[in-house]
Amino acid sequence: MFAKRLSAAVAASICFAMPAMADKLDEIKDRGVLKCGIHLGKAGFATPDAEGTWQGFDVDYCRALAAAVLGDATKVEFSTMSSKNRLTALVTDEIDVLSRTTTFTATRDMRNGVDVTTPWFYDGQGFLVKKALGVSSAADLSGATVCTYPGTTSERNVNDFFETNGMTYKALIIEGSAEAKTAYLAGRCDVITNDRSALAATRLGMSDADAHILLPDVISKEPLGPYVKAGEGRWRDVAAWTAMALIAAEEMGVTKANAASMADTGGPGIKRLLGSEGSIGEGLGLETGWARAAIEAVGNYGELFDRHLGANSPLAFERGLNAQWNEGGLLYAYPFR
Amino acid sequence: MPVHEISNLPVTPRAPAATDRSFASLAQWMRRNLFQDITSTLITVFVGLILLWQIPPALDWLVFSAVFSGEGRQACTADAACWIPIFEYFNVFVYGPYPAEQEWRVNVAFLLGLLAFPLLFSRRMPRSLVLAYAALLPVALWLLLKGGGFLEVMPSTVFGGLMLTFFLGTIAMCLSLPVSVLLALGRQSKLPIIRWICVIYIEFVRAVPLLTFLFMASLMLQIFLPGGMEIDRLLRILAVMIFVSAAYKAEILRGAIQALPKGQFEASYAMGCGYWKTIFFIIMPQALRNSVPALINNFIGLFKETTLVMIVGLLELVGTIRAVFQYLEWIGLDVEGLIVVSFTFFVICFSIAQYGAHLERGIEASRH
Repeated sequence: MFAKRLSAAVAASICFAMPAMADKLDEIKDRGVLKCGIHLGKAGFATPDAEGTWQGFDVDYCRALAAAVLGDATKVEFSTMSSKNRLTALVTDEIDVLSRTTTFTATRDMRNGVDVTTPWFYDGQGFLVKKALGVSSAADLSGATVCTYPGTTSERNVNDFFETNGMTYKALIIEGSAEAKTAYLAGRCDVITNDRSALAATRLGMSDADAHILLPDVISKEPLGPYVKAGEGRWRDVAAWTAMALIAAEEMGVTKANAASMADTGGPGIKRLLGSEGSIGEGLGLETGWARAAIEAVGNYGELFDRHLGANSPLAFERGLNAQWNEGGLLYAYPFR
Repeated sequence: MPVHEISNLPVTPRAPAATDRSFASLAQWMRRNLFQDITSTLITVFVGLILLWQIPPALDWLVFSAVFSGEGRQACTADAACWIPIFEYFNVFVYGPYPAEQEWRVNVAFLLGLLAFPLLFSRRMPRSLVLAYAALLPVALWLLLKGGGFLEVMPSTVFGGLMLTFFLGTIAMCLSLPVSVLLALGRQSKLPIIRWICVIYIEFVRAVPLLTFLFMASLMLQIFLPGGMEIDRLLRILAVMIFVSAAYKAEILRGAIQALPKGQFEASYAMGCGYWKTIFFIIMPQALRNSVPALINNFIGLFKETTLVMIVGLLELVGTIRAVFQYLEWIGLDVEGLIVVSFTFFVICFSIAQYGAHLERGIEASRH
């Protein structure tokens, strides 16, 4: 009897201790500022400029999200997150969204108290080699010495790749990407393997960048994208659909410059996206012009990619998997209807 | 041989003072110090050759061929240092993402920190004034940089660069010392509860790496706290640095207190001084003097440990420099960045060490 009463009392006190929390979306709107977790510094994705302002592909996603939710792309507070505390920071509400080149995996989505949204960048493990080697594809790498990192998935991926293709290789296991680069430049290994976006940056940092090439092969799947706290359905929708809106905008030919005129002159699909028809914004709990605000703040996906990673950036990363679905890539925004 | 005789042995005369700059004395000095016998001659020649071999190319890389100004990455050359980004990003290194229109607050904070040095070095300043300054400095820095009152409140996310290093280092140094005094006294307390609490605390903290505590403060604390309650990220990290460092300092102080002759306590009690008077007027002044070298060592270590906060996502000077050299235009110039970091840390840590040497000279003088 006593135990029963005690447990009831404990249960009651726990319930009462839980504050009546508004949902994440309302909380952000009330606060008037979006708290976004970003990388500590990763070429093309998040780096400070000479004014100390964060710039990059992941950073601009946060700006777009702030524009969509709050109508102002500057209402973002960027928190740098290490790879150790990034997911916990979401769970403990230190940040609202994590836009930090974090791979979508089953374990993270299911177990860590966080939810995936939609892929923002398809990365994958690749190889960087010296041009002098005369190699044009990873299939020619048999017998090569490969610089890799200890105990990471990348080490396992390389092993799987060479084994399935019946090729031999010698692994040189090195801690840290700077050390790997030094070893590679000193000729201790023929190949460095890492995520391709990181390799492109490594290559750019070499004084003789043109003497090295990034092989086109991709040997692992690394879908990177924003994470949100688990159980925040409405907020997850907003985070996912903002990314989709930027992707759809590219597909429909809506750019930062022409978004305003397209809202009046575009086809019905474009009008629904930009909010001049339909009620998608309302359904998300946002203003009708939410997607237009995001596009006008940072540009469409293609503009963003070119600016930070692609043709207009020194990284000159090819679109590859990150091209639209009708151009051989994987970008496939769900229909806005 | 009894001790007093050793100290009375004739001392070999010192090398001529630096004021005597004649060539003869230089030759004499060299003969005595560099070419005394075959071994030392060989070592001198060997070291001299290494220096001749290494220093000119190093200087050439660092200064003579280095690029100091120009437009963008194209101005850099492949085989010499490129200092352009260091100048271009100077503000980012110093202020981090702190808003430009509020940078004066950081400047005032640096000034307050610098002002501590003449205060500390002056032998005429009353001790109480110096102590009061050291006690108020952390509070002043917090209010100034975090805001409050008439100053706009700044989120912790705008703290970065040298300013964050300075903020963490200075506050942790100033506040860990008083905590460590209490711990050292508590460990020697005659009250068993207090003694045991202090012993367990010190032993536990010393046995766990600082990094683990930083992780706990950054990850677990928030999970344990009731929903909606949040302790500022900087505050959590600062608390860890203060309380971990205090445990080490407490042991240094305990050693110094135990080294004091029992007679000091007894004489003080015989004079009618109570516990607190004995501690603060007789024991602590002597214990602190005796532990100056070890404490300065600990301060320097603590200052350098501020770089560990990178692991919990705070960008202090080293982190900021690493982030900047991920910027596409300047990617790959990490070496230049690390040289700047090393130089900055050297200047700060060497200043702290110099203050220690200054204190020791004062103590030495007061003994004669």
